[in-house]
Amino acid sequence: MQDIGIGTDLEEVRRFENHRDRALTAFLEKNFTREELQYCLSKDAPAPHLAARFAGKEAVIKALSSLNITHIFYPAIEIINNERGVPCVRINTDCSEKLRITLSLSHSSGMALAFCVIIREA
Amino acid sequence: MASFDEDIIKNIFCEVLGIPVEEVTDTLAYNSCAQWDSLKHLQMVAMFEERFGIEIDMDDIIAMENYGKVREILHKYLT
Repeated sequence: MQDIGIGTDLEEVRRFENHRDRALTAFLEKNFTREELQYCLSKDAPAPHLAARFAGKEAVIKALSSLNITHIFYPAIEIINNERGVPCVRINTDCSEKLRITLSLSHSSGMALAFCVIIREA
Repeated sequence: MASFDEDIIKNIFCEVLGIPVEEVTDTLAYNSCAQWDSLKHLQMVAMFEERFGIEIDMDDIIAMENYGKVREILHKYLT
Protein backbone atom coordinates (compact mmCIF):
# COMPACT_ATOMS: atom_id res chain seq x y z
CA MET A 1 0.00 0.00 0.00
CA GLN A 2 1.20 3.51 -0.78
CA ASP A 3 0.24 6.90 0.62
CA ILE A 4 1.05 10.00 -1.40
CA GLY A 5 1.60 13.46 0.09
CA ILE A 6 2.02 16.67 -1.86
CA GLY A 7 3.19 20.14 -0.91
CA THR A 8 3.90 23.37 -2.74
CA ASP A 9 5.28 26.80 -1.86
CA LEU A 10 6.03 30.15 -3.45
CA GLU A 11 8.50 32.73 -2.09
CA GLU A 12 9.48 36.25 -3.08
CA VAL A 13 13.19 36.40 -3.94
CA ARG A 14 13.54 40.01 -2.68
CA ARG A 15 12.95 38.83 0.90
CA PHE A 16 16.24 36.91 0.75
CA GLU A 17 18.30 39.66 -0.88
CA ASN A 18 19.69 41.31 2.22
CA HIS A 19 21.29 38.18 3.63
CA ARG A 20 23.49 40.28 5.90
CA ASP A 21 20.38 41.58 7.70
CA ARG A 22 20.48 40.46 11.37
CA ALA A 23 17.10 38.69 11.41
CA LEU A 24 17.66 36.98 8.07
CA THR A 25 21.19 35.88 9.04
CA ALA A 26 19.99 34.40 12.35
CA PHE A 27 17.17 32.61 10.51
CA LEU A 28 19.52 31.21 7.84
CA GLU A 29 22.03 29.94 10.41
CA LYS A 30 19.29 28.17 12.36
CA ASN A 31 17.27 26.67 9.52
CA PHE A 32 19.77 25.96 6.73
CA THR A 33 22.60 23.41 6.93
CA ARG A 34 26.20 24.46 6.39
CA GLU A 35 26.23 22.69 3.02
CA GLU A 36 23.04 24.45 1.88
CA LEU A 37 24.45 27.85 2.86
CA GLN A 38 27.79 27.13 1.18
CA TYR A 39 25.97 26.24 -2.04
CA CYS A 40 23.65 29.26 -2.04
CA LEU A 41 26.25 31.81 -0.94
CA SER A 42 28.73 30.59 -3.57
CA LYS A 43 26.41 31.99 -6.26
CA ASP A 44 26.83 35.50 -7.68
CA ALA A 45 23.20 36.15 -6.71
CA PRO A 46 22.43 33.98 -3.65
CA ALA A 47 18.87 35.28 -3.07
CA PRO A 48 17.02 33.16 -5.69
CA HIS A 49 18.81 30.05 -4.41
CA LEU A 50 18.06 30.84 -0.76
CA ALA A 51 14.41 31.54 -1.64
CA ALA A 52 14.12 28.32 -3.66
CA ARG A 53 15.62 26.24 -0.85
CA PHE A 54 13.30 27.78 1.72
CA ALA A 55 10.34 27.16 -0.61
CA GLY A 56 11.61 23.58 -0.90
CA LYS A 57 11.67 23.09 2.87
CA GLU A 58 8.14 24.53 3.15
CA ALA A 59 6.88 22.25 0.36
CA VAL A 60 8.44 19.20 2.06
CA ILE A 61 6.85 20.14 5.42
CA LYS A 62 3.44 20.53 3.74
CA ALA A 63 3.79 17.17 1.98
CA LEU A 64 4.85 15.53 5.26
CA SER A 65 1.90 17.16 7.06
CA SER A 66 -0.50 15.77 4.48
CA LEU A 67 0.78 12.34 5.55
CA ASN A 68 0.33 13.26 9.24
CA ILE A 69 4.09 13.44 9.80
CA THR A 70 4.55 16.57 11.90
CA HIS A 71 7.78 16.10 13.86
CA ILE A 72 10.22 17.07 11.08
CA PHE A 73 11.17 20.75 11.04
CA TYR A 74 13.16 23.07 8.75
CA PRO A 75 16.74 22.43 10.02
CA ALA A 76 16.29 18.65 9.60
CA ILE A 77 15.31 18.99 5.94
CA GLU A 78 18.43 19.31 3.79
CA ILE A 79 18.19 20.04 0.08
CA ILE A 80 21.36 19.42 -1.91
CA ASN A 81 21.68 19.25 -5.69
CA ASN A 82 23.11 16.04 -7.13
CA GLU A 83 25.73 15.98 -9.91
CA ARG A 84 22.97 16.57 -12.50
CA GLY A 85 21.64 19.59 -10.64
CA VAL A 86 18.55 17.77 -9.37
CA PRO A 87 17.56 18.79 -5.83
CA CYS A 88 17.69 15.82 -3.46
CA VAL A 89 16.07 15.86 0.00
CA ARG A 90 17.77 14.34 3.00
CA ILE A 91 15.91 14.06 6.33
CA ASN A 92 18.49 14.50 9.10
CA THR A 93 16.44 13.22 12.02
CA ASP A 94 14.87 9.97 13.22
CA CYS A 95 12.05 8.93 10.96
CA SER A 96 10.67 5.42 11.16
CA GLU A 97 8.67 5.84 7.95
CA LYS A 98 10.00 4.71 4.60
CA LEU A 99 9.60 7.80 2.43
CA ARG A 100 10.44 8.47 -1.21
CA ILE A 101 10.73 12.26 -1.57
CA THR A 102 10.78 14.04 -4.92
CA LEU A 103 11.24 17.81 -5.06
CA SER A 104 11.26 20.26 -7.93
CA LEU A 105 12.50 23.85 -7.55
CA SER A 106 12.26 26.77 -9.93
CA HIS A 107 12.97 30.48 -9.77
CA SER A 108 12.81 33.62 -11.85
CA SER A 109 14.38 36.91 -10.82
CA GLY A 110 11.34 37.68 -8.67
CA MET A 111 9.80 34.43 -7.39
CA ALA A 112 10.91 30.97 -6.31
CA LEU A 113 8.64 27.94 -6.41
CA ALA A 114 8.83 24.41 -5.03
CA PHE A 115 6.68 21.33 -5.53
CA CYS A 116 7.13 18.16 -3.49
CA VAL A 117 5.70 14.66 -3.80
CA ILE A 118 6.28 12.10 -1.05
CA ILE A 119 5.42 8.44 -1.38
CA ARG A 120 5.16 6.55 1.89
CA GLU A 121 5.86 2.91 1.30
CA ALA A 122 4.36 0.27 3.54
CA MET B 1 21.11 33.07 29.32
CA ALA B 2 19.56 36.55 29.54
CA SER B 3 16.63 37.36 31.79
CA PHE B 4 13.04 37.91 30.66
CA ASP B 5 12.50 41.38 29.21
CA GLU B 6 9.23 42.17 27.45
CA ASP B 7 10.65 45.31 25.82
CA ILE B 8 13.20 43.18 23.96
CA ILE B 9 10.44 40.85 22.74
CA LYS B 10 8.37 43.80 21.52
CA ASN B 11 11.40 45.36 19.80
CA ILE B 12 12.05 42.12 17.92
CA PHE B 13 8.39 42.03 16.80
CA CYS B 14 8.66 45.64 15.57
CA GLU B 15 12.01 45.08 13.82
CA VAL B 16 11.03 41.86 12.04
CA LEU B 17 7.37 42.60 11.22
CA GLY B 18 7.96 46.30 10.54
CA ILE B 19 5.07 47.46 12.73
CA PRO B 20 4.86 50.16 15.46
CA VAL B 21 5.10 49.06 19.08
CA GLU B 22 1.47 50.15 19.72
CA GLU B 23 0.34 47.29 17.47
CA VAL B 24 2.22 44.67 19.50
CA THR B 25 -0.58 43.56 21.81
CA ASP B 26 -1.80 40.18 23.09
CA THR B 27 -4.28 39.96 20.20
CA LEU B 28 -1.62 40.35 17.49
CA ALA B 29 -1.82 36.91 15.84
CA TYR B 30 -0.14 34.90 13.11
CA ASN B 31 -3.36 34.24 11.25
CA SER B 32 -4.63 37.84 11.30
CA CYS B 33 -1.45 39.90 10.74
CA ALA B 34 -0.52 40.19 7.06
CA GLN B 35 3.18 40.75 7.83
CA TRP B 36 3.46 37.70 10.12
CA ASP B 37 4.07 34.74 7.80
CA SER B 38 6.19 31.61 8.19
CA LEU B 39 9.43 33.29 7.11
CA LYS B 40 8.96 36.21 9.54
CA HIS B 41 7.94 33.75 12.26
CA LEU B 42 11.20 31.81 11.87
CA GLN B 43 13.18 35.05 11.74
CA MET B 44 11.65 36.17 15.05
CA VAL B 45 12.35 32.79 16.65
CA ALA B 46 15.98 32.98 15.52
CA MET B 47 16.24 36.50 16.97
CA PHE B 48 14.73 35.39 20.33
CA GLU B 49 17.21 32.53 20.51
CA GLU B 50 20.16 34.73 19.65
CA ARG B 51 19.18 37.63 21.92
CA PHE B 52 18.24 35.52 24.95
CA GLY B 53 20.78 32.69 24.46
CA ILE B 54 18.14 29.93 24.44
CA GLU B 55 17.03 27.14 22.12
CA ILE B 56 13.28 26.93 21.59
CA ASP B 57 11.63 23.51 21.07
CA MET B 58 9.81 22.81 17.82
CA ASP B 59 6.46 22.38 19.61
CA ASP B 60 6.85 25.79 21.25
CA ILE B 61 7.79 27.42 17.91
CA ILE B 62 4.56 26.06 16.44
CA ALA B 63 2.54 27.12 19.51
CA MET B 64 3.68 30.78 19.21
CA GLU B 65 0.50 31.77 17.38
CA ASN B 66 -0.05 35.20 18.96
CA TYR B 67 1.96 37.76 20.91
CA GLY B 68 0.50 36.71 24.27
CA LYS B 69 1.51 33.11 23.65
CA VAL B 70 5.01 34.16 22.54
CA ARG B 71 5.47 36.13 25.78
CA GLU B 72 4.18 33.20 27.86
CA ILE B 73 6.47 30.68 26.16
CA LEU B 74 9.56 32.89 26.40
CA HIS B 75 8.78 33.54 30.07
CA LYS B 76 8.90 29.76 30.63
CA TYR B 77 12.42 29.60 29.14
CA LEU B 78 13.76 32.65 30.92
CA THR B 79 12.63 32.18 34.53
